[in-house]
Amino acid sequence: MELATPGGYSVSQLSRLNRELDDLYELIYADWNTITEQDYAVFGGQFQLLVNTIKQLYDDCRRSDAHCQMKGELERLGMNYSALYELNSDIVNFRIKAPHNAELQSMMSKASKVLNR
Amino acid sequence: MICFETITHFRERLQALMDYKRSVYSGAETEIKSAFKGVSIEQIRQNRDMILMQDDSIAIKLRLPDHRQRLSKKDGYRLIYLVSMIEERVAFLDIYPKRGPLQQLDIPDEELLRLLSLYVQEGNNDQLQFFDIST
Repeated sequence: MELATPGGYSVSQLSRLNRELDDLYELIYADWNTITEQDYAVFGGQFQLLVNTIKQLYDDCRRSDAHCQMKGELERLGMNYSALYELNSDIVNFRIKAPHNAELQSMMSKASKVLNR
Repeated sequence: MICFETITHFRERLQALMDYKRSVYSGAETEIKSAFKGVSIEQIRQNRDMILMQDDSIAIKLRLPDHRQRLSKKDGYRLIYLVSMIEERVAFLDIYPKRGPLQQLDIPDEELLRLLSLYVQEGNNDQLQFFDIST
């Protein structure tokens, strides 16, 4: 995946990056709720780094002089950041932390009693 | 017949979206109804957006599109709901947009805990309200 500084980034390059991020999102989202703690230990660090890098690139591009020329692609980049951030957050919160969260499990049991009575 | 119910927090959040200036989020209610109209309880239960499953209930964070703003499911709204695996019963807990001035990026597990707590409290006090998806 191509990363570059905002000053050297063309609209077509940003467009290609967005397409690749769309594909990455679909790839991870398709299997997100089967990802285990062990799986995340393998790719989680790199995924988190990627999300942070996209945010940094988005912020840098917004501050650059070429901001207006790449407005549409920049908006897509912002949406891709938001989507990947959410996906990472869902994996951490609900695939890794939730099974160890006794308070959450207890409250879910109480809610289940109300829902099923 | 599937029973859809809501907690106060959900109703307030939906109303805030519907009332937001320049009608930015005025399509939210329509998107919810479109997602559930004519859908079987099995389809409501079996969803890859499931975030928690325990004791015959499932919590789901459903990705909804925003047709009005031409946003896909990835970029539209998030609807948090509970669905029973025994009864034909669904409870809406929260809704938020992924884009715009009221944007929310994610829902932390602490917030899900709070929503479940509100549901239990209102369920025990008979404060849940019916949500009509047919209109």
